[in-house]
This record gives sequence, C-alpha cells and structure tokens, in this order.
Amino acid sequence: MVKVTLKSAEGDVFEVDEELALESLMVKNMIEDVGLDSAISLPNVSSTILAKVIEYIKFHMDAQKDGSKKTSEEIKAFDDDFVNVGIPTLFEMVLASNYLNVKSLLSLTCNTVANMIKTKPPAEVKEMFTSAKQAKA
Amino acid sequence: MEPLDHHLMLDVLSRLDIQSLFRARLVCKEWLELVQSPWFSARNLVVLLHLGNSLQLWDPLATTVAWPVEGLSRISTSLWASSAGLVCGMKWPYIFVGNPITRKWKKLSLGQFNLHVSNMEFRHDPFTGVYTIGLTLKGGGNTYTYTYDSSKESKGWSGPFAKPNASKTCIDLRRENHRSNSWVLTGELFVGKCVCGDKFIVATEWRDIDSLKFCGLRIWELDDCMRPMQVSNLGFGSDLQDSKLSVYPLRMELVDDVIVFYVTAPHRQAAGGVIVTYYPVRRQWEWLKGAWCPDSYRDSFVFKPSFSSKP
Repeated sequence: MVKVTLKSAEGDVFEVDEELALESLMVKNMIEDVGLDSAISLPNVSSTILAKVIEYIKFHMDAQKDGSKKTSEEIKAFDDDFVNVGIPTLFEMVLASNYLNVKSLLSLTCNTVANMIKTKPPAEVKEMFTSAKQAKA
Repeated sequence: MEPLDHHLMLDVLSRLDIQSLFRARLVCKEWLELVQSPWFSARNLVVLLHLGNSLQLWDPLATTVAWPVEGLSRISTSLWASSAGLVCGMKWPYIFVGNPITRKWKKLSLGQFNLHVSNMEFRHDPFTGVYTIGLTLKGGGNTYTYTYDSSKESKGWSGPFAKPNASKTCIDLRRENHRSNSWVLTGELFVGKCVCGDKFIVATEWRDIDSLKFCGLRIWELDDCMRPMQVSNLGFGSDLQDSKLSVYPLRMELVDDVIVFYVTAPHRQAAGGVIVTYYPVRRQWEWLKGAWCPDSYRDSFVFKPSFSSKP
C-alpha cells in the first residue's frame, strides 16, 4: 500500500494510505501535480483538526467496504458523536473540509451548523458566531 | 461576525427551512444581504398547495404543516410553472407571476385569444430579473406558440411561432426501446418531458412484463438534436424497494435543476402521495422529507424558494 505524507500547520507529519488521502480532492490534485515524493503541506489545517478529518474518512471508508458489519444506525451514531464538539472546533472543521475538499464531511458539518441556527433564537445565534470569532482571534 | 466566509455561510444558510431563514435574516446585516442576494439558493423545495379555499405554503423540512399565502386570490388551475423562486399560474384570461415567499404578485393579461392553452413554460434569470413565459395554444385544428418577455413589457405577447415537435421524439424513443429491451416494453408509459440545461429529458414508467407491476422510472437524456445520449433505468432507490410499496408517478416537471415527480401508491390515490426528486447532474434520487399531504396533486406544485426574485 502506497503511503502519503501530510504535514499540518504545526509541522506535524501524518502518514496515511494513498486511498484515504485521495478522498480529499485537494490532496488528490496535489498528488497529481507534484507526485508522492515529498510531504504534502497543509498550512491551513491544524494537527487536531487533521487528525479528526483522517479519523472521519477512515471510518467511512471501512464502513463502505464489502463485508463491513456497520449498520446505518452505527454510522449515524458515529457522525453525531463526531460533530458533537465545541463551536470553535466545529467551525474549524467546516473550514478544513472546505479547504481539503471532502464533500461528505463539508455536508455533515454545514448541516450541523444549520441545525444549531434552526433551534436558537437570532440573539443566541449572533452570540454563538461572535464568540466563535473571538475564540479564533 | 464571520468565522466562516460568505461562500461557506451561503452553504450553511441554504440548508435551512424557510421559517428558519426568515429568522436568520434578523441575526445580522451580512446574513440579511446573503439571504436576499441572487446567489442564495435554498437547497430544499417548497410546495404551494390548495387547502380548502386558500393557497398555502408547505415546507417539508419545517415542523409547521403549512402557512397561508396572502396577496393572491385562489387560482384554480392545473397550469403552473416555476423557475428560480418565481411561480407562474394561469387563470384565464390572466397569468399571475409572483414570489410566494415575499408575497409579491403581478397580473398579466393574455388578450383576446380564442384558443385553449395546453402547455406553459416559464424561465426566470435571477441575476438579470428577466423572465419569459411560453404558451402552447390550440384552436381550430392548429397549434400556436406565444411568448412573453418581461424585458420587453410594452410589447407584451409575441407569436405565433411553429411548435417544437416533441411528441414525435417520444414515439421514436419507444420504438428504439423495443429493439434494445424487449422484456420491459409492455406497459412502458410516457410520464413527462422537460428541458434541463442543454438536455432534453423524457421519463417513462418501467413495468415488469409479466405482472405489469411498476418497477421504477426510465430516464432518457437527449442532446439538443434529440439523439438519446444516455438511457438509464432507475428505480426509486432502496427506501422504496424495501417497503414493497407499489408506486405510480402522476406528474413530472422541472424545477430549476431538479426533476420533480409526484408519486402515489395506486390504492391510496385519494390520500395524496409523496414527492420524489431526481438530480440529473448528480444522477441522484432524493425523497422530499415527510409525507406529501395534499389531497389533489393537480392543484399543487413545487418551487425553489427565493427572497430576491421579483415579478
């Protein structure tokens, strides 16, 4: 199995299977352009978030494989648990999945943000976005 | 207050139901501008339906069943069309164009045609605000096409033009189908046609030859020269096949980039049905969440909600 080396914003190195790395269309394009020889640098993604993204892709790749015993309930439980994080982390995951171009994760995280907006009154939504911005700064 | 940029915020907001969108506009000025810009396109479709004596909106994503559309008296017609947030309905001798979300309506007079209107096409460009209406009219053994262009309002309707020969294409298609797939020919019935981008799409029912049981829909994609480019047999997805529910498509229409099918189970025809959507670009089926409530499918139709479209 061919390995791909991904380098996070902090400079931490993640070695993953090529099959997994190709799930990110952005990494896929990078591999096509520059090849597999050097590490792929992802200056916009922190180590914590990159580890989460890899965990997500790995789970879903295993779940889709023939012979996987994962039920749709188990997959949904994983997704629910996966996005059950603090609001600043959630926003970082939206940004990372957009940057890395992982469609299914972008869809999952955007839906999560949308559901938060849905269930809160406008003042609380504003508060949620303002505090997330402060946490980022 | 933007931890997410405008492009991502548009993506998030597009996933909200209509009533949440009304509230989200109050959060801040940026969101108000985003939701009311022509770039904004809601992901879900909204159903405009007749309940009793009033027009009501029903959002399959929302918890509330329906809310009334004001500013328009009841239009009783089966001729509806919609495009990019605007809807168009005919009540002889007028055509109403409007946005059910902003409740702005406009009445267009058809003039003195002594003809029967058999088909209506409607296209609206949200960026220029220009819309066109195409009517197919029949009378005295002849068929005419008239068009209305909102950018040339003073001129009103223009026509008649020659009618595009669409019905012939469907018959030719079925002959070709006979050669390639003889086992499903019996009971292959024409459901509808629509134009999606540069493609012409025809849907036919697909039945098992022994039991004549409905198996799904067959989608034909044709290029503008009316040659079949892709022929695909499509069931309604595993949801439906698992439930062993026999379904029956009632009507097909194009809502922007989505093909909408009104589907019912034959034994429950009186109790309404459900709406199934097909995305030709992604080749993907989707169910509109929740049951479709109206008793009469003829008086209901689906449109893509927009806050920026003006009649």
